[in-house]
Amino acid sequence: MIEAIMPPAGVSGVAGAGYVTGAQGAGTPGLGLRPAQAPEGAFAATLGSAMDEVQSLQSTSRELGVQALTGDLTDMHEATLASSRASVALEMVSTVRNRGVEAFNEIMRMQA
Amino acid sequence: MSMDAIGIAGTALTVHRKWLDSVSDNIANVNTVRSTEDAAFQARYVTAQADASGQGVHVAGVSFGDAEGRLAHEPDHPLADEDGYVRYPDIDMAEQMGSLIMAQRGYQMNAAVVDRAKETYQAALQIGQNR
Repeated sequence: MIEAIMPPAGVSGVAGAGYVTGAQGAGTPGLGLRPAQAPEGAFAATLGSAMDEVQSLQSTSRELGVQALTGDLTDMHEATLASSRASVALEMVSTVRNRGVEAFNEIMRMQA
Repeated sequence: MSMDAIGIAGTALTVHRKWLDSVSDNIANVNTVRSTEDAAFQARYVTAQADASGQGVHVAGVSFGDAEGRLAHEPDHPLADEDGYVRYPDIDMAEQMGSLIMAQRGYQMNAAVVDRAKETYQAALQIGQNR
């Protein structure tokens, strides 16, 4: 039975490259990896605030759409402009989210 | 989020819409006759001005055409004075038609800018997607 992961005989004294904090040298027994200290939920907060912005753009677009239908709109282009804006903003937020999830999945696949 | 091109083109669309409105009003009133005691119908001309913020354009104000108009001798007209004169507005139809075309093309141009800007932003979102 394997009780502990021992370093290969020929390798000793390899220190962490410095990219991952808390990585121990290969000489110490056991896995010394701890997660890097990232700000809690930074990505989620950024995505959330971007989502709020998209929400407000879409509600503006909806409001102007209703005004266009009821005849209260003075400028026709305002409604179409708002809808273009809202759609581009939504596309951007969804792209950012997809890339984030992609990166996460890529990391999750990193196992031998 | 900055989507300036769409906003800037939007301000120009508004200016051109107002220009179109004023030209249509001028052309609609080209045969508006007044009695010689009243002022003639005054053509409206919008003045465009760059925004102080440096982003876009807005209508600074409206100037009016000549209130004098031109007098025409039409004794049978119900508004004619004792000498048989009525007052027509002093509107140059050729100038108004030229303005109409410029306003229309300007509006179309800025609508094209909005489309291109949107396409550009969407292209930016496609960067790095190898599909």
